[in-house]
Amino acid sequence: MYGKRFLIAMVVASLVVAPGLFAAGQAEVDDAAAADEITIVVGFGAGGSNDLSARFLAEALGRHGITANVVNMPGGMGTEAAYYVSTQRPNSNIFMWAHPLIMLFEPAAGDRGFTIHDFEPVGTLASPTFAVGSKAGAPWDTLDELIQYIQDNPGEVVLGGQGEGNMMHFIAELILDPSELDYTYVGLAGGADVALNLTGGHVDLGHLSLAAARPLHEDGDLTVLVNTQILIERDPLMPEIPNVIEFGIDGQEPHPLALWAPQGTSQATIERITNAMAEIAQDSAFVERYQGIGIVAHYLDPDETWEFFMDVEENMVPRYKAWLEDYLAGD
Amino acid sequence: MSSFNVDAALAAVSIVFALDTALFIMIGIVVGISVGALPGLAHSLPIALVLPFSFFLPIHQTMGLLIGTYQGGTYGGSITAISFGTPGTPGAAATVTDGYALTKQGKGKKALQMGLYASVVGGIFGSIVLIFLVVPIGQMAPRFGPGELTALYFLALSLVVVFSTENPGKGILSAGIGFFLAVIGRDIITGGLRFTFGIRYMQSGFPLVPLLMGFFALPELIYQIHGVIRDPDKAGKVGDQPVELHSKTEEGLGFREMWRSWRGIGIGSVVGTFLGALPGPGATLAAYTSYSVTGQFTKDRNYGKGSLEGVAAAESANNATCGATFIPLLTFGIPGSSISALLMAALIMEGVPVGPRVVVDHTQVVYTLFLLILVANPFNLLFGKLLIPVFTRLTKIPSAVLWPIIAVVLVIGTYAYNSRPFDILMCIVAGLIGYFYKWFKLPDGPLILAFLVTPLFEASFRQALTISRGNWMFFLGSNISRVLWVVTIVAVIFFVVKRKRHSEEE
Repeated sequence: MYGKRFLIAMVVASLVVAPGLFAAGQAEVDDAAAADEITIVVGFGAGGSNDLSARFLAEALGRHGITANVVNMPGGMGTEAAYYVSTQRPNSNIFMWAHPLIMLFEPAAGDRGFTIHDFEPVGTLASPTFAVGSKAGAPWDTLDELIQYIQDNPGEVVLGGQGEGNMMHFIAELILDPSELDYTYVGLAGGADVALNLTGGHVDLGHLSLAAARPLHEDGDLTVLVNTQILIERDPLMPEIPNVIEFGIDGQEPHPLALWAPQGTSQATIERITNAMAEIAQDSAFVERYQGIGIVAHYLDPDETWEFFMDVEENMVPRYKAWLEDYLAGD
Repeated sequence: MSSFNVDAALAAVSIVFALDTALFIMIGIVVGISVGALPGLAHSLPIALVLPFSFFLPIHQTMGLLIGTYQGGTYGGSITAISFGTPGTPGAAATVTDGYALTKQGKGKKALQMGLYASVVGGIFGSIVLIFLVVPIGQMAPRFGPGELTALYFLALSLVVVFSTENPGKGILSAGIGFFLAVIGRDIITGGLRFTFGIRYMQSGFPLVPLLMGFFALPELIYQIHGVIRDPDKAGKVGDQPVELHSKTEEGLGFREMWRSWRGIGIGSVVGTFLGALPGPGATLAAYTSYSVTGQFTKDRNYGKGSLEGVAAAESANNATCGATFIPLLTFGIPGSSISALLMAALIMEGVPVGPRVVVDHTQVVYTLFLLILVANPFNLLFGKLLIPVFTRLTKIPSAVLWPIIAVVLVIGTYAYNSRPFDILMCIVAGLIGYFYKWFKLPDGPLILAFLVTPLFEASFRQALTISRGNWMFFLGSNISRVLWVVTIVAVIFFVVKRKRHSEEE
């Protein structure tokens, strides 16, 4: 009899726990004062550059009296997490750590349940640098030589990128225009997969982060040809590597990572965090840490952040949408 | 690797065998085993949770904590798999069939001990291979491009045939359901949506952990709770002493029984190390591959119905991946799994840039890692042994108390996997599928294998065809590919002939 009662009690407990979990993320706090504790949601798994940059930021915010907990919510190229944050109530103190790929390009590719207009910018702080590298022993040393090689040897070169039909694929085709150059693009699983295929010689070129490419470049396993950083031309991590813009190619990647709050978040909280971010960007130890993982520490305040993202939305996203339509149509 | 550096090795020994390092390994092992034993809480979760410690702990303590958590968690998943038929981690799913059958036969303690010993042997084997063969095996990993991986994954898919020998029709049906579940979500090439039925959460596919938790745990949960409702007097009550389902002094594992499982442990250790060194497959696929291969060579007639060798095959394989997963990380700085990505992040946060030169530039750190991975195994053995009596006793808690608690833990664990309430619904759907499988006695191996391998196979197959511009001869373009195709054909013929002979004998 007692067993049955206990069973019923536990079933009731289960039923209480489940909706409690549903509601957990929805908790609203009093917004009278700026928050001391926030959650930063990262749309990718723990351990990658998105995650590490958020963790370094969280640790630095801690020194400014703001406790920041990093939560990983991978799925849908970061859009699952962005959708989750966009549905949180204002002043839930849950923030999204996201770049234009998540905030602009993915919603442009299809309905992801949110748009950038569901958020308010808090500030930009990190800009990961990406690069194009070639396999060891490739018969070219520069981007110009590569283009010449592809023209002389149509259909021979294989470029390994990170997925297909996404912003990174679009950028790769801005750098090497397939309507003029006959080469093969293959979408690989991610940066680690690109690096493996490049070192194994399965692809001739790879599109990967500068942080992942640099040690392999120094070891002679691949050669970095060009970086695609949008905020500065030469990355201090490898200042000898030219920027793609130096070749007259409009293929700089809009990758800066910014902190975003759900619309309606307390301005006091946003101001407190953005002030802390501005100070963190001046901390040389922090800048060096970011540099070590191939990220340029570059602060943009909320207005500048919004301006930057809107510029990408107006100038790049329409081109991306047109490109995607052609790509899906098989042109 | 460069020549052996005696000074760095001695420094690493003095660091690893210090009291503080041992303490952090122990904490890691206890946390890992405990969290690993909770259904749904995959061991990547506690590793992610202890990652922030990298900011203020010295590297040997951080890595001791993380490696201890990793190895303890990999073993811990087997505890609930054996005791309650609910895998604590995805890597322990292959342990359920034989492990839980042994528990129901009153041999739960033996099964838990076999799981522990096999885990430790597999873990030590993987660690030794890492230490002595890191460079040659590391050099091998990049040689597996899309063409070679297609052949490898096809070989893995052919194991569906092995699982289907009892009843090919049921095996194919089971694999078909696995294929279907695996293709749900976004097309990996075009990004188009497949079978998402307009549900946005389905865009990222059917999640692995809720699938395994629901598939294995819910049918058992329903069965047990049904038993409680049907016959409450037998189910016990709160405050009861644990019921003695088995004899009070349940017999432990004998050396002879352990020795008789040498095939399973050997195959598991080798398969786990090999697949662990490759980016992609992971502990779950390693355990299923080892389990099915051992099934073809075992002489145990109870294999699949309560065999210690079955437990050994699965558990040695998943723990052998622990050391091997570091191989591509330490040779190229490329993480081959989500766990190694986490450990790489910890190293970076400690100020150690991971790359091909890490062995040269940070020799002492690498030697310290090697020793930590090796030394964590005896600690795993020690704490595993201490905890087995506790877990053996847990199985004897009255059903009316035990299973509702498991239900609550299952809900929390499934939610914690991705912080998504939707995953709980997916867990329930997986439970309905699991119930359907139990009802119709469908084999679970083909479903899990097909679910795990299909996305990997599809990606490498389509990548290979893209690279080769549709030239199918590309799949035979390297010696590795050719060998793998031959092994696949020979293996399938071997399995079919063996099955035919077996049928004739019967």
